[in-house]
Amino acid sequence: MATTLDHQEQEQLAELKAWWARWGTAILAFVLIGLLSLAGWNAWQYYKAHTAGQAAQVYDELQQALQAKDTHKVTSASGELIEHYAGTDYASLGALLAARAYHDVHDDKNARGQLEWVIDHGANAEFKGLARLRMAAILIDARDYEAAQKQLAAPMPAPLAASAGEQLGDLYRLQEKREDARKAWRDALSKVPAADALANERIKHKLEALGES
Amino acid sequence: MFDWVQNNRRIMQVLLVLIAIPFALFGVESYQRMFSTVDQVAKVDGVPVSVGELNRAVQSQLDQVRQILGAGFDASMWDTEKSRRDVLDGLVNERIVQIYSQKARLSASDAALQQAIAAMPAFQENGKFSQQRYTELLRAQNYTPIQFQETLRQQLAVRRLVGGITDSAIVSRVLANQDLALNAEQRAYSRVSFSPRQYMSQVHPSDEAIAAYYKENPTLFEIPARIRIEYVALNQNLLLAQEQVDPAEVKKVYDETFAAAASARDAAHKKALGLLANLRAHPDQFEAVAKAQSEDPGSAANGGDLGYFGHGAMVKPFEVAAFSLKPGQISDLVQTNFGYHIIKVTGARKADNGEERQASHILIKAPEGAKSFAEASAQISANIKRQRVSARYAKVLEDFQNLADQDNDSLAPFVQQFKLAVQTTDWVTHTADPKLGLVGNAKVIDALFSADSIKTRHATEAIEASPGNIVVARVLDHKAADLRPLESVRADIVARLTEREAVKLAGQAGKATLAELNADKKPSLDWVSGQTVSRERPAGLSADAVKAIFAVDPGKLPQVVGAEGTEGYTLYRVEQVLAAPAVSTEQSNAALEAQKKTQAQADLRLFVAGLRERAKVEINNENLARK
Repeated sequence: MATTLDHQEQEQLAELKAWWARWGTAILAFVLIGLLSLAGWNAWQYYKAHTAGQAAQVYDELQQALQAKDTHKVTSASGELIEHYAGTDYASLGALLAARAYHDVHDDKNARGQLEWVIDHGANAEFKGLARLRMAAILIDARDYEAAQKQLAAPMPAPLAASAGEQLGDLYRLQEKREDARKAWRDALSKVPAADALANERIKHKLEALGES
Repeated sequence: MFDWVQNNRRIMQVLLVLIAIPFALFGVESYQRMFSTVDQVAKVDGVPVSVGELNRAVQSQLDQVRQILGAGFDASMWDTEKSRRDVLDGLVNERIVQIYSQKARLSASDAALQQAIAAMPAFQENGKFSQQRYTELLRAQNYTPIQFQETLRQQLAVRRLVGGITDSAIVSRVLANQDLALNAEQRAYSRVSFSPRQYMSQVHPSDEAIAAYYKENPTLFEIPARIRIEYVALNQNLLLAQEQVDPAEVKKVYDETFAAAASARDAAHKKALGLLANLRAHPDQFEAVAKAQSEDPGSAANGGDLGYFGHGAMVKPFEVAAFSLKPGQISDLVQTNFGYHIIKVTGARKADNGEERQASHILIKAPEGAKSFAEASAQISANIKRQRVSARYAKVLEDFQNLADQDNDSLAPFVQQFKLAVQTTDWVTHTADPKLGLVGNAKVIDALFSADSIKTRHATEAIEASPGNIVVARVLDHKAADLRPLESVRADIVARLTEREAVKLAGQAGKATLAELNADKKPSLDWVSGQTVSRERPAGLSADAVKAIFAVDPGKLPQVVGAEGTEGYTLYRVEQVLAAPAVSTEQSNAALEAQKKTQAQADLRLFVAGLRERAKVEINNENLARK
C-alpha cells in the first residue's frame, strides 16, 4: 500500500532516526568545519591575488620611474613595495632593480641597502643568492675584500654557489693568491650544473690559465 | 539542518561564493592539463610539455640553421637525439619559469596587455591596430579573445620576471678590469722547435704497418657504391604534346565562337570601304555621311567633329593617321578596337604642349577580337588540348600510380601505356644532386639506393620529384662500395705513417730535452729569442702553446714549458711578464658594459637552474624520439 509503511520499512526508519540522533551533530559539525576551512583557504587565496594585483600597480610605477631615471620616484615606489607588499616577488624584483639604479648613479650606500633587504627578506633563495653575488661585486669595487668574501661564502642554492665560488676565485686571483683561487674554482666546478656548458668551460679555462689541466 | 540553512542564509551565500572562486582563477591552468598523457614528452611539476610542442620548437630551430647554411643544409645532421634533448631542456626551463611566475602571482595590468596587443605587427593595418584584423586572426587560430589574452598575460608576466632579473645585473668594475689586464698581459719568451721534417728520414714504415693501417682505416680508401639509373617522368606538358586535334574539330569550334564575329567584321569592312570610295569621289559629302552613317553617337550629330586633340588623347592607330594628314585630307580605312574609321583632318595648330589636330571621323563598328580562321586555329587547338588533358590527368595519374605500385622489373609498361621516353644516367653515388635533374631528388636517390631496389632491380613507386613531375625510376646497373686496392694507395699510406711517426719522434726528442733542462743540464739549443705573446694576440702560436705559456707562475721565471706548436713540438722559455698597457677609461667602460650583458644572461640561468633543482621534472624518453 502506498500510504502506510510496512513493518520492515518502519523499523529501518526508526534505526535511521536513532543513528541521526547519535551522529547527526557530529557529521554536521564536521561538514561545517570542512566548508569553513575551504572557505578560509579561498579567502586567503583571494586576499593574496588581490595584494599581488595592487603590488603589480606599484611595480608598474617603479618601472616607469626607472625608465625616466627619476630616482625620487624609484625610492618611493620600491619603499612602498618593501613596506606594504614585502611577501610578494614584486618587492624582491623591485629592490633588485632599485639597487641597480642606485649603483648606476654611484650611490652605493642605497644600492647596498636595497640588496641587504633582499638578502634578509627576499621571496626565495634565488633572489637572496643573486643579491649576495651583486653585493659582493659592489664590495669588491669598494676594496672591502673581506666583506665580499663573507657574502660569497654564504650558503645558497648550488648553481648560485658555483657562481659565487667562481667570483671568489676571481677575487683571490686579484689578490694574487693563486692557491686559494685554484681551490675556489675547483670547488665551483664541482657545483656547476652539468647543463651549464658555458660556465663549465669558463671555469675550466680559468683553472688552466693558472697551470692546471 | 535545513532550518539552520534558512536561518543563516547570508553565511551560506558567502560560503558558496568563496567556493566558486578557485574555478574562476584556475580555469586556464586546468585547460592546459587537458592534454592526454600519450603525447607528453616531459612533465614539469605536473604541467606537461607535448610532443607537438617539442617538434614545433625543433622545426623552428632547423629552419634557422637552414637559413644560415643554405644549400649545404643536411637535416639529418642537425636533428639528432642530442639536439632534441637540448631543445626540450629549453622548453622545460620555459615551463619552470611559467609555473613560477603563476605561483608568485606575477601578472600584467590590463593597460600593459592592451599596449602589447596594439603593438603586435600581426594585428596592424597601415601601421595601426585593427580590431577587425585582430578578431579575424584569432578566429583563424581557433583562439577566443579571452584565451588569447590570458596566454599573453602569462607571457608578459614571465617577461616581467625575466626583465627584473636581467635588468638589475650588477658587475664589479675591478674584476672586469682584471680580465682586460689579463687578456692584454704580454709575456716574453724564447722558443726552439723540433720539426717532424728532421725525423722523416729515420722513419721506414714496415709492410705490416702499412697493411694494418689499410685495414684499420677503410673509410679513407673507399670507393662509394654507385648505380646507373633509368627513369620515366610524367607531367602535364608531356600529355599536352601527345594530344592530337582533328582540324575538323578546330573548324567547328571556330565556326561556333569566332565565325559570327568574323562575318560581322567583314560586313563592316565592306560597308566602310563602300563609304570611303564614295567619299573619295565626293569629299564634300563627309559631314552628311557622318551624320547619316557614323556609329559614333558622340560625334555623328556634329558631322563627325571631334574638336582639337593633342598626342595621347586618341587610340594609337587613330592618332598616327590623324597626325600624318594635312587639313582637308581624308584617310584610308583605319582599324581600331572600335571598328573602322574614316578620318578627315579639319584643322592643325600649335599648343603649349605640342601640336594639336582637329578632325572629324566616320565610325563603322566591328566586333572586338574577331579573328580569321588562320589567326585563331592555333589558339583553339591549344585550348582543346588543355581541356582534354586536364579532364583526364587525374585518371592518368591514378593509372600511373597504380602501375607503379606493382613490382615492375622494367619500364616497358610505362613506355607502352603512357608513351613516355626512357632516360638514363651515368654512374651516380648516393648523394642528392640537382644537376642530375629529376632523379637528383633526395627521395628518388634514397629509394634507388635501398637494399631492395638494388637487389631486385624493381622500379620505384611513383615519386613526385618536383612539383608536377612524377617519376618512376629503376636501377639499371650497380657497383657495390669497394676499397681501392692496397697497391694503388700504398704511397699515400706511407706518407701518412711517416708523418705520424715523425711527429711522435719530434715530440719525444722535445720532451727529453725539456727533462734535461729541468734537471739543470745545459743542452746546446738554437733558441729563437725576443718573442712576445698575449692572450688576446696569440701571434701565430697554437692554442696549446698559449695555454702553456700563460700557465707559468709569474713568480717563478724563467721557466721552460713544451707544447705541440705549428712547426712541431716546441719548447717555450718564458722569461718575463711585461706589464700590460694601462687600460683606458673607454676600454674599461666597454668591457664593463659587455660584462653586464653576459652577467644578465648568466643571472637568469642561475635563477632558473635554482628553481629547476626544486622542481619535479619527468622526461619521457620514449616520446623524445617521436616525430
